Amino acid sequence: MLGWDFRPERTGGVGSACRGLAEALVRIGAEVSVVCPAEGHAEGLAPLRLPASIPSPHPPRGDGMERAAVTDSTTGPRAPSADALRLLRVASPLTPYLTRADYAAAPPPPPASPGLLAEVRRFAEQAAVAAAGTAHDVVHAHDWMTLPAALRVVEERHRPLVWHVHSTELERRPNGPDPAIVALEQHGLDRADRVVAVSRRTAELLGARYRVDPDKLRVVHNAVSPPAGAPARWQRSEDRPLVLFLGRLTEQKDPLTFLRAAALAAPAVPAARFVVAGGGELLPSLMRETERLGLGERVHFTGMLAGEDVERMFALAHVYVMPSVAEPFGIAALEAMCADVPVVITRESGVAEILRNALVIDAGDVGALADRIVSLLLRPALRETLIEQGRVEVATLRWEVRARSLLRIFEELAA
Amino acid sequence: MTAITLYFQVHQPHRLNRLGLADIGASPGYFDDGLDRLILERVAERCYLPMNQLLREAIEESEGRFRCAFALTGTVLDQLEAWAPEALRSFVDLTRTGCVEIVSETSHHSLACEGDMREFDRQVRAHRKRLTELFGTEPRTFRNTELIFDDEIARHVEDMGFEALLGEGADQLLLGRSPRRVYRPGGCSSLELLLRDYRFSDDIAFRFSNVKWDCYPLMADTFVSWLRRTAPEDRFIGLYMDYETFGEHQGPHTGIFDFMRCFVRFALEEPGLSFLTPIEVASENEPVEVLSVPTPISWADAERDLSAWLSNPMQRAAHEALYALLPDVLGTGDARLLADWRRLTTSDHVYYMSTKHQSDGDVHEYFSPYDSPHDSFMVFMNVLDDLTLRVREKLAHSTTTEKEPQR
Repeated sequence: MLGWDFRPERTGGVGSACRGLAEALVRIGAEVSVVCPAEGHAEGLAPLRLPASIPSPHPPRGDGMERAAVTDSTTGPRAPSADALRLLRVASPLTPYLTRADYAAAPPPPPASPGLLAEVRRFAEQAAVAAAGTAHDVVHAHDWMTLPAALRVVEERHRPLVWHVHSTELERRPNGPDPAIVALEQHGLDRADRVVAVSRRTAELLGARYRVDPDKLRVVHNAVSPPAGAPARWQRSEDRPLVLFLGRLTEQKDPLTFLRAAALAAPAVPAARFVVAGGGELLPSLMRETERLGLGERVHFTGMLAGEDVERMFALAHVYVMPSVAEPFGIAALEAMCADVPVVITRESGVAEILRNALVIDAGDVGALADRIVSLLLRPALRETLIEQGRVEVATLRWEVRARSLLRIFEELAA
Repeated sequence: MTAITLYFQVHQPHRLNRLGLADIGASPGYFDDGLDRLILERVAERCYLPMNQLLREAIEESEGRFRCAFALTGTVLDQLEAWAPEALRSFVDLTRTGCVEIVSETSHHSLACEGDMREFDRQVRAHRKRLTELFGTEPRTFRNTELIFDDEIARHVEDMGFEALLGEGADQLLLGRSPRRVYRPGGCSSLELLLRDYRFSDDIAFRFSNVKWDCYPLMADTFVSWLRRTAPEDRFIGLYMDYETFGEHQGPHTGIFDFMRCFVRFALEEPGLSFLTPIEVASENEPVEVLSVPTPISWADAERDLSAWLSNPMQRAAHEALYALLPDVLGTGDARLLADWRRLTTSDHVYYMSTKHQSDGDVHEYFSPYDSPHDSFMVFMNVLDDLTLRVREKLAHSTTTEKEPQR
């Protein structure tokens, strides 16, 4: 697997998906080596700590080129062996969703390359070296940054390529996609033996705008890992309900609709606070809009949150809003439900295809969003039902189920 | 001789306009007449008219040996009067043959039995009066909304003078007994309980067009041969179902009309089988046993209880808020406010809020005009909040006018 580090706080949805899928594949009997970019030097990294159910892999040897287990998808489920999951980190500052401009604005020190595309190529070289030490039947890559690396590995060993699409440049940047990235995505989609989309709507987009052959296109929805089960350290304030937006502040995630809905909803729920959690290009304009709407007292900007801060935000929130105009999937909605937070999502999100215990609105419909927020705060029975039934529902949305679908796709190719 | 007792439920609710929170206080119309009319006209054309015609022919061809029963709710009568008077006439004409019994229920197909027993009595009496005027004979058999009943409901029904009660032949009630005998509900002294035979009923109502059913396709002679094989002490077979089964739930392409035509013909040829209406079965038979029903039983879902309407917090909150408003609504003495309130008592509104069986997309969704149970709850509560404001306003106004002479 050419994927992302198992620290989802650094990488967003695609990081949780890589971790969830890799661990679940191992639980159902496959062996997986994950090659991924990691900040700092590989030699300096401590061995990855895995949940109790997963045996810890051997600490990486200094060169990151230890003998890896074979990805064996032909046998049935068995107890994961100590070798079944291996993480090979390659020192690189790459993170998903980085843009060329962001990368150029804060260039990392050498040996990282000065430009994003150059760094992606450099990572590909290093990743191919790391992967050379693994025996594998299928190469499974996630999103465009890992694609050059995946192509190198595939070419060297003549293995089939499965490319897993979590997000596309055309949706991330509808008003100005980076042509070099689109070209790279197109090349990968043409070259891949199977393309896995995280939702039907993403599959449709891949078919319509990237002309992906429907015969090799498959849909495997995302899932969510069960909460760690740690006792809640934070208490929701019933006096001051908190309505949460959490995501990158980009046009795709549409925080502006959240702000405008907050302005409409605020008079009906005078005690409510609205929190915009996340960083991104829209932050300055959103802060100006907040002032213009006279919401300075009601809206709080937290900046980019990670790890425990995200957990804390969900633990405090009464409503989670994901107003995205385009959302290939939207794992955050499932994470909110795991924390007993009712969610409002848009019809334009992949998660809306599978979720029943959510309030669904059309993207950009400020009035409908305000109506749902106020209803959730004023009608406790609505919240209770969504929380009760949502708990039951997310418990069924597990990575094992998705890993089985992936395994079937791998088997098609291995046969 | 075993009697086949066919009973059809005819019902349409008044569906709600999609009120948002912003509409509360603006008091727009609550009911989506456009949608109701569209559905009613379709159902009248696809089901009520052709099926009434089919039954009429069966009665004529058999010279009155074919018989059946109907319950029409007050809400469907309102809609038939407004938008399909010819279909309403065909129901009335059918009863004139003397072979069709009209069964009574609550006027609004409500859950008043779970909300307010005095309101239950009011709705039952009002509906009986309306049916008597419309069809020319006073109903003697009662069925509650979706066959919901327990001992307490049965006693009320008996007190109001009904002679027979229709109920669900639920396993948890019968505990191995046959649904095909006449029973007496616990605490009653004269009321006779006629239970639904859910296996045979659902063969027609649910399984008929299911290609995965191992008896598909069901032929009329096969079905009659099953009915013929009942035990000699079986008195009747209660085939109770939605009337919309014919032509609507089971479309005309499924062959349901031909099946019914042949079923009636073949059954009439069987010396051991006949057709009787519920009140005829009750008159000809004495109860064999008292069946005590401490908690309500219904014909809905696998559980055969009230969980289709009153299980999740939204359903309970909506039901409680609705009945909590009743004393004030009555206090206004305003017929329009009461009429609006009563239309909200129709059980369909809380049925749409059900979150049961979410994983296998089931009959709740089939019937619901909403995208989700949550949407239906929000709309219902917005309507109820608006009605509450109107009721408060009316009460405040009448209090001021009453006080004026003292000033």
